[in-house]
Amino acid sequence: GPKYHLLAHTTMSLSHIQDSFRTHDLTISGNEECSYWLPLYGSMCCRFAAQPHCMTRQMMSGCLKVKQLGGEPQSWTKVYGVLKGTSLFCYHRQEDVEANVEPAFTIAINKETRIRASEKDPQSKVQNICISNQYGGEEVTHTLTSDSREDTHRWMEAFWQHFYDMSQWKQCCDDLMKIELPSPRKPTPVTPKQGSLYHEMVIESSDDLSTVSDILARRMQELELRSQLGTSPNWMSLFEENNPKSAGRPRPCTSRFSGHSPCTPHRPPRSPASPHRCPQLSLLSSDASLTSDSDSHCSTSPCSHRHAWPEPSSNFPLLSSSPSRMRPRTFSLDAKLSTLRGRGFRGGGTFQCSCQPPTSSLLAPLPVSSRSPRSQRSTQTTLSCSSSTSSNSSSNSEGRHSPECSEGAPFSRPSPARRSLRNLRARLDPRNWLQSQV
Amino acid sequence: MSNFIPGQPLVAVVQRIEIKKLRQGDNLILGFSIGGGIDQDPGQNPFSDDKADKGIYVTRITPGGPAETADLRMGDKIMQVNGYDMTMMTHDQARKRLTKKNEDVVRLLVTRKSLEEAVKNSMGGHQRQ
Repeated sequence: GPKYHLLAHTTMSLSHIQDSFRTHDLTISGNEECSYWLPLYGSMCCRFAAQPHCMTRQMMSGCLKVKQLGGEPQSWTKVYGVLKGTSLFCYHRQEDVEANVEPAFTIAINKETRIRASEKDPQSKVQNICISNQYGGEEVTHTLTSDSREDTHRWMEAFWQHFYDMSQWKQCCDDLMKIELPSPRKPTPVTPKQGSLYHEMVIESSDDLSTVSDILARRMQELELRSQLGTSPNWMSLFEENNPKSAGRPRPCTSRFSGHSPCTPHRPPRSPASPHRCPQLSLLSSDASLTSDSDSHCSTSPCSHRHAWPEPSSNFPLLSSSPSRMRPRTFSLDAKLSTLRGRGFRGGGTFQCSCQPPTSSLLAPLPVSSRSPRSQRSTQTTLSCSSSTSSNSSSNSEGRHSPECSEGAPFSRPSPARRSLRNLRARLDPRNWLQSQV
Repeated sequence: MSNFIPGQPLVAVVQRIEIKKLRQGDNLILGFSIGGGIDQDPGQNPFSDDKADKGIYVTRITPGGPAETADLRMGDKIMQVNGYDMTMMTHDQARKRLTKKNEDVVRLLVTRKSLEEAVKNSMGGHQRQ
């Protein structure tokens, strides 16, 4: 089967359980020398929720008698009590519980509640249970009793157990945390026949890049034919991905998975059902494509990096297989691929480029990025170059703008030139886009 | 620039630029700044046509520096450095590839819009027939 490599891990425990999203630090294993290296950012976001049983199940139920407050000393009301979560629900009848009828009244059972057994009632010879709560500034005490000593004893035990549970689960018992069950989704049909470009690739001579290019060329042709028949291979959808969130900032992201882990801490995230969402990762981890011997500690990775562990059975076994061959040190695979252009490739399928189409005019003015409204930029006229970005490269990485910055070729129109220059400077704000001086 | 689609073979008109590094104390400098990278947000790149292009772009040229002398221009996209492909690189890797201490000279292949247009225009005569 496919081999997995642990890229990073984080450990979460009771103290991390919360009703909201949090960022957790990842401990990254391996370094760039590993064949499976991925430039992970170093943290991940998730919501870690828990529903202790004491919050969701009936811990104790039975018949009780509750003394009327302010009534005659000996008048008791018969109720059916259910201890669950932070309350003791008292129903008129046992059937009401199933029927979802509202309880007659509810007594709070929480960390502030005090429960004690009182002296034996002189008449019934059974101990009473007194439950005291603070409502507002007042203390309100309910007195309960049951039909027999054993029942009372059982109730007291249930209360003690409940208190113990709440003390152990701590913040999880403040309120019931919502955990949604994911809607049943049909798993993406994996069509082994189609496979991916890399899936069925067998390379005899491991370092011969021309062999690789040939194989790729042949596969491309096959796929082109197939896609003309209307079916696009799964991996094509990689390149339709619009990934606007790949800034190098740890923004808490609402990734699809997070928040749905039921009470099992320490599990690594489930792999997603569809392999559609990791555009550049497969390319990165291909041995052949990157140049070597750089020792950057870690680079930024898109915020949706939680998708870094795709299904092994899907289309990227190149990620998971442990290549024993050496990394080619000369031309990258991309450079080789560029020689394939002569064979007239154009990938099949539809590549929806979700960005703006290239402008056809010669001296195109600065394309307006749809994501950054002008009004936002105009407030940043002071270009403070002292900001260091959240990138973690070890040395200087700031762009400086000298006022006499010469405009390059693209901006040779005289009248909008000034405006373009100002625009340009605003858009080269290192807070938004990392620049490095070399 | 030039229909950049990740993973697909790329066709581009390139210009060779040879920059001799300048020694300043302990450092070898080239005199320009770069932006971009596969780990960066391509939407912030003011120079690229295609806002999904994660390539490495020249964002600034130090006046009078070695890059300016070699006719590198702001907005150029760096395709290769000393034979190494730069189109699929993280920002930091690109920076390191340019600042190797044992290299005195970097030979870049860059592409720019004006080049593409120049080629197109010079071929225009043929096409219009």
